[in-house]
Amino acid sequence: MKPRFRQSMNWLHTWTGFIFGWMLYFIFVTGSVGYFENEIDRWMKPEMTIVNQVIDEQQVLKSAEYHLNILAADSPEWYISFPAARSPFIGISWLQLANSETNTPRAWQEKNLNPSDGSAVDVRETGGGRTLYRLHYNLHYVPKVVAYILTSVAAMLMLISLITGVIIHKKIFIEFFTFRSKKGLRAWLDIHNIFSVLPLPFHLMITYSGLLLLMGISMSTVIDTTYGEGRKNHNQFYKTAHLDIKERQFLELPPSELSLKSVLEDAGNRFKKQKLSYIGLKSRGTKGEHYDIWFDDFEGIKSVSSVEYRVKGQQVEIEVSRSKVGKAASVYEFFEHLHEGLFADIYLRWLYFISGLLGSGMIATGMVLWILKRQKNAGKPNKIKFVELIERINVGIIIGVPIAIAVYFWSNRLIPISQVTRDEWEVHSLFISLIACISFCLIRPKQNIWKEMLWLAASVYMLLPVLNMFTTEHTLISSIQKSDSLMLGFDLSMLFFGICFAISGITVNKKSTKGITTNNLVPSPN
Amino acid sequence: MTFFRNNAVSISILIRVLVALCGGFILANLVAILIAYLSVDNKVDGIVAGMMVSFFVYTAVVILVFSAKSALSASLYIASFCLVIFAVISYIDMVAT
Repeated sequence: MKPRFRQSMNWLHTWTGFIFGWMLYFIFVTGSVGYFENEIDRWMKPEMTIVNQVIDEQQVLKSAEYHLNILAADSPEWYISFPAARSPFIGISWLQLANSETNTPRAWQEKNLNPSDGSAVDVRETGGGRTLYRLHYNLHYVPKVVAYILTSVAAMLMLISLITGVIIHKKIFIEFFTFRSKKGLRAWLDIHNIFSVLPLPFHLMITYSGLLLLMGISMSTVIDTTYGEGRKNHNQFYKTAHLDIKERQFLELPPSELSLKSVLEDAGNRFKKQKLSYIGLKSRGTKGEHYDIWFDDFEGIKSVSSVEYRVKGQQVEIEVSRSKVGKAASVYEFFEHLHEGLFADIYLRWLYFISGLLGSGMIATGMVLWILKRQKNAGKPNKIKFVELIERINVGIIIGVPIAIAVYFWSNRLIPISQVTRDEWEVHSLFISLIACISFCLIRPKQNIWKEMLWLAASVYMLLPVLNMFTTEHTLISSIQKSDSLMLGFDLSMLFFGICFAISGITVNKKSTKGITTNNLVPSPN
Repeated sequence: MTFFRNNAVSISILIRVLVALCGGFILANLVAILIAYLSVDNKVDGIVAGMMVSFFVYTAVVILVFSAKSALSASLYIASFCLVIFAVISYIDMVAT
């Protein structure tokens, strides 16, 4: 390869990585956390009653139907979820229609059912794991389309940085095994390489599939040329593009007897090996009323088929969805499943999470490298000031994002249960604390900010299980006794992350007393 | 003219960034539309395939634009690619109607 070519690629790598670096870091961290959506959800809804015993599905259905009839008589959509590996709970949820008289907005409602007596349990209003993981593409405060386009642009730049990163690496595998510690810039570069090369397939997959997931927005002109502009026309496209191959059969069941009960019975007999995840009753009270069944099992990386029951003429029809009709649509689906990782068991899930964190680390070290190189070559005092500003904000974001996520968990316990739009305030606390972290880094003496931020992160994480102990009845010991592995796992993980931050804090402290802080990691010119 | 001479590097970079951003977006879209047009039997699937390929086109454009010898040749490359693909699409359109 010509040296000039590699040089231009180096330049491209530096700048495509830098320009959206902070946003990419935020996307990577919140996205990685999203792999534990259900686990976080459990922690943020401490009222939920865990199901440890064998349950009678028909009995559960009966009490669920009883509550839904009282709470959601006029709702068009009902869902009843059964205990699954990642969420051992019984839940009912329904779509509450907007009502101008009582001033209630259109919203999803949910309640948890106690398995022992079938009573409905109130769950606190919380954004839960879902709001947290959605942050990585909806950015919360901006309109959806703007957020999708910004995320797409960031992902596009990420893809370019990854590919140029591979190009500029002459000896990608040899360099992977080199680590020259304590040599300033080189040490940071070696860490950057390790974070990038080891999980490179993951980085490429997650970035490309992320682009695909939003391509309906970012590349919408392609749809326009055939289907025309506008949401209605686009929906037409999505409908056709997502078409499944379907198998239809008729049941020997009189249409009048089609009910939640008979659907559950039939599904139990027909799919003996598969574990029921939830039943939905959709378009209630209209002509298109039908029942949906989803299973908690996966075939490879995709969930096993979903099943629909509906009345057709004088008979009951059952429709089983198989794979996608289109070839490209199947490839798309493959990437979608890989990105979401819903099929992953707990071990693979951790691998996903760690890969995501390595990606965040890659971005963070890349940003540090950008700063160090500019400090080394800075000449004018203006430029030195500017680089210092970037450096401070950088620390505020790198450690601030994890702190903000911990604050999100704190706010779940500390905001009064009766607070209106409680879930909104949880997200506000996340962003307020992120801004506070950045401001903190802007005003403190520069040599202390890494250390202080790390200690702050360590304390907010390590105190989370303690907070949980004081604000709910869940302690580490009670979680073990109730074999509530999700609650226990969350608390232990938080302790673990806190310890990791503490160790990093100690390391930075040791280095700074030896006189090699990150600021003077740049070798002196003489 | 001295302004252009003094800031030649910055101007060259600015042009390249603009060509990469806009030219890349246009070319990626054109290629995607072409792929959609070429798959006659399943048009919807063609659109999906086109969009999926477009991101690689964009990446390639950016790499090409920044590795080209000068900003001018980079713009010429991308413009001529766009023209060719646009011509092919128009031709297919013409034949179809």
